[in-house]
Amino acid sequence: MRKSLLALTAGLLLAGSISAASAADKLKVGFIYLGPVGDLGWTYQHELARQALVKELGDKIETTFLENVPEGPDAERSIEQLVRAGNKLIFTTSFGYMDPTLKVAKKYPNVHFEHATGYKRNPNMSTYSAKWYQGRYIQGLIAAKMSKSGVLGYIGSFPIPEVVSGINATILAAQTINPNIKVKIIWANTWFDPGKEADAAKALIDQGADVIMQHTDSPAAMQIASERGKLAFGQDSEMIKFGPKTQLTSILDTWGPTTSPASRPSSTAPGSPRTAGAVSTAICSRWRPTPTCLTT
Amino acid sequence: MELIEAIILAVLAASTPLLIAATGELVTERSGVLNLGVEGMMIVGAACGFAGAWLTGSIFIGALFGIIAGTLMSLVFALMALGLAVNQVATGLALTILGIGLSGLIGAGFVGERITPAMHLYIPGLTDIPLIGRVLFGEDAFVYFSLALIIGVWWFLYRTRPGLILRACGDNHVSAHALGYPVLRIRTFAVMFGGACAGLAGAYLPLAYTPFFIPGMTAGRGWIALALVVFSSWRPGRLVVGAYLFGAVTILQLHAQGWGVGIPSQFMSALPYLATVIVLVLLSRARTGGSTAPAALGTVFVPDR
Repeated sequence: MRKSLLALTAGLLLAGSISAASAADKLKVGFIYLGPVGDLGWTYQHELARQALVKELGDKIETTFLENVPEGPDAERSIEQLVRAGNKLIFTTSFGYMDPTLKVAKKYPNVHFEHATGYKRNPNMSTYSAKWYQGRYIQGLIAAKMSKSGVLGYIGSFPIPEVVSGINATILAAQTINPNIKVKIIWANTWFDPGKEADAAKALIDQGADVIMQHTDSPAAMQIASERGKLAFGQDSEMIKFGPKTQLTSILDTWGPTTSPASRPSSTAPGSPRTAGAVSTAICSRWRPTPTCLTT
Repeated sequence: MELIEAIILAVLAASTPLLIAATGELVTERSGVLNLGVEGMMIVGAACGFAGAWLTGSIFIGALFGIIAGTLMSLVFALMALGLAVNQVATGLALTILGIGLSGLIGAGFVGERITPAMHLYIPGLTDIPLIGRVLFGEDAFVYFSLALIIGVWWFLYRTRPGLILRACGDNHVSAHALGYPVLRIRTFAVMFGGACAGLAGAYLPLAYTPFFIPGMTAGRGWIALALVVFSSWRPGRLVVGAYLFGAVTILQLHAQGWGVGIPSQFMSALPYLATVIVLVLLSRARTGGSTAPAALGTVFVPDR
């Protein structure tokens, strides 16, 4: 960790990517958030990473975030706003920011962009992601073992690579336990709408699913599963509060460790894809009664 | 059978917040005021409603907090748009932005807390009737209250003198003023009613639908309620049709996906909007043909004396 911080500061000074005169060698880092920081899921975990970054680097950096930025062309304005405010490193933290980020990146070659989970890159725009499918595989194994009805319910957000790979991993894993297992998939077509996520969970349970998985961001599905006495998996962050006897385990996105190395724009090959890898995709298994942490 | 019942129950729950919020906005717009701040009033109602219920342990007091919060928000609107005659569209949009921020602030301390959701009614014998028992006698009180509310509003608008006066203000505020009716006072009450309903609709979300508070949890329901009012051509009956149709298609498309119907999910997600717009447009074309919007909707009124 320390090493990467030193590398960051040294790298930046050597590369001269910020003018020495301005801002007293403070690197300004901007974040574009999809949801509110209190969503208890995806954005919340990114916010924790931002806080970790601030804690690590102290007054060497200055961070700003914009929350509730809708995906799509309109995000361009928000990203550009961060550029104009003098941010030299910008994290665009959701898949749907890919094209807008690329557009802004081409316009401002001196600013570095880190985009989450996409596939388009530029010399000054990299991708970061995590090996979620590994966690999903483990969830698939657990779900198939725990399911009595042989029907699993899966709430998807959007049919994009990170979600589809997770569903595939779940099904492949579940089939190794029970070849006849059924996985019912409902696409919510939103990342965050507690009411709709709850409705999707109700529909899946009403159709016979007894283990609910989700790739959406609020704990609504967990809460419904808890109300109906079914089992569920948390998403992005710990959701055990919403189903103390319901949550089997939770995929935990710990961005902290990846955010720091990613903040070295000049010391790693620019434009290269990154996976969070070993450190960050920690699957915290709150397998009752003793919590254990598996690392993928 | 059980599945049908489950679907109907889910539809009721999904439609209720839309119906309550839209009922309030219908009255507001019938008085000639366009308040685009429904989403903002709803989300503040959600935050305050949850806070109230969490602090007191009572869903009823939570709902009351939501109503009061929504009303206070609408008073801000009334002060700007009616008192100072500011542009209503701009004021409404600003109210939404204010509400989203304010609710995040109010609710910050409550994120991650849980409450016991609103009790579902249980009448021995009646609730146990298969299929219809739980639908008619087994939902939470909000569901039945929302229906009573819209019937009450219909009765008020079309069967009482104050309702007639309110509609007159919406259709021609100059004439209403000339006849000696206090246009701005009537409109303020209509705006407050709209705010109270939006606050209650917002409070329904954390008190009954998903019993926790998360910033932004209304997720655009205020806008849908606004659209419902327009597409129902400002009529209570069609509003009920629209709200339940929207809820029904929302839930049914989720079930259809679960059954594995091979239609792209993006299209399915658009279906509730499509179906509601088509049906309500057909309904309003079948009868009158012309526009039924309150003639003075959204126009500023400054009494000349």
